[in-house]
Amino acid sequence: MAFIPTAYIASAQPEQRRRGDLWNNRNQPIVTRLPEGELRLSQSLGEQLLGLLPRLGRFARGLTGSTEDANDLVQAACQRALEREHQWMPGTRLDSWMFRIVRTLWIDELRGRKVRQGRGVVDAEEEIVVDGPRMIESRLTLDAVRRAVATLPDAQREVLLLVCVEGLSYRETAETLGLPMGTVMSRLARARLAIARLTEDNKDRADEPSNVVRWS
Amino acid sequence: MPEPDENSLVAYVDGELDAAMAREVERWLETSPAARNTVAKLRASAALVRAAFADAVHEPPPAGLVELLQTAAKRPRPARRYALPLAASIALAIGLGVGALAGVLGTRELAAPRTEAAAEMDRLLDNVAEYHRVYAREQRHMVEVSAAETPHLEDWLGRRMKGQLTIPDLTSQGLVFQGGRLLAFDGKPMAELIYKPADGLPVGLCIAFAVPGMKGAGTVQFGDLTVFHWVDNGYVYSVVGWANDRQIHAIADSVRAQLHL
Repeated sequence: MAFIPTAYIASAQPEQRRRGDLWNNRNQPIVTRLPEGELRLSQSLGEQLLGLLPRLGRFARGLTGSTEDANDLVQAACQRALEREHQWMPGTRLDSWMFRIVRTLWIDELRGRKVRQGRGVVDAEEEIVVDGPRMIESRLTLDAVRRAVATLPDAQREVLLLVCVEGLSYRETAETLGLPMGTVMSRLARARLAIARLTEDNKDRADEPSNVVRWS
Repeated sequence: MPEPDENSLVAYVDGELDAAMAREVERWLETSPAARNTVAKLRASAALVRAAFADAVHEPPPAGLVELLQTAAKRPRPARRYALPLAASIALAIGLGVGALAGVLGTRELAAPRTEAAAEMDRLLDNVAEYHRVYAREQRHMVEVSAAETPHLEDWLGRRMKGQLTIPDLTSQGLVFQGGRLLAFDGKPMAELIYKPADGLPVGLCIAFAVPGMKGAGTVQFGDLTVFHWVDNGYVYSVVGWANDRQIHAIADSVRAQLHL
């Protein structure tokens, strides 16, 4: 349980934005009031999605744990966004809307399909084991982190990715996922401590003397 | 303050606490090695996770998706539904507009082929609907200049639209004039006049400059919003609101009978 009321969370306060401006997915104005009172705009949804693709791909990669699934997911999410363009309120953040679509599609549709096909399921205990000498390469450490992320429950993983990787505030994460802020915090804390524990376990193994040296 | 739990520590690490709460947590950290240890773990794990997915942004997007989006970027709303305009609403009898059109439009637009004019109309109506969706929900700032300043509004928007603007009276349609706003489309000014029924959502009348090749009239549905538009003498007029075709057309007829821009 969170003992701090939401009121103490800085991002719970609505952002102060200039009235009359509309905002894009990076929190920059897409429609700006010029000094003479005229407005200047703007990008179409297609253009904005193009700019957002790298981040959508990264979020999908984190959710699915596989590049192939991530590609399917991003493709499906963009198609859905174009079909439902009228549901997007310009002036609200496109990234949050897209993350929500990606996540909903993954949970509701694609993930089930992958599981039924016998793919996309990671066995936590087996996958997380990384033998010692490999840990000296940080690239492989990060591999271990990605596997640790994959072992988290979906509910924790999506919060972790949105906050730590995509840089959303707690408030934005809560809105994107439709969760209370306290739930965002507790899932995030549990996920972060789990990642620390899992990678710590690996480090302990790495510190153990080992005469097996594998450079792969 | 009780000893901070994991939730407040993670909020502290992520800079999500306000200044006073953050100071409280820092006071605790000075006295609690366990809390310091937890903070170190929360900090390190965030850095690891960020680093682990940093490269994922450089992976190429799926083949075909970029093309799909580029096509969509040119034609922003492929999924819209068009309805045929009512015969009654096509009659364009009133002399509208004295726009010095050539002076307003660049040569690029003048050279635009017919099909581009249709795409341009799509984009224009799109913008009309989106602006209305945004501004009509503002309670206190729905309009820029209120109905109380009607003479100023007529003068100002009229000058911007290069014509003589008389605000149409739509009380016969149960609509009370609220005021207006200056918008922009493709770098050119666009005026929106906003009206409200006694109870219900606002209705907008938008006036924009037409580009050569734009013509006719029609109804377009944007989700729950209905937009009826017609082109006359260098201007595109559109009536937009959360109402059915019949109501929107009746309003448009009333506008056309009165507007002498």
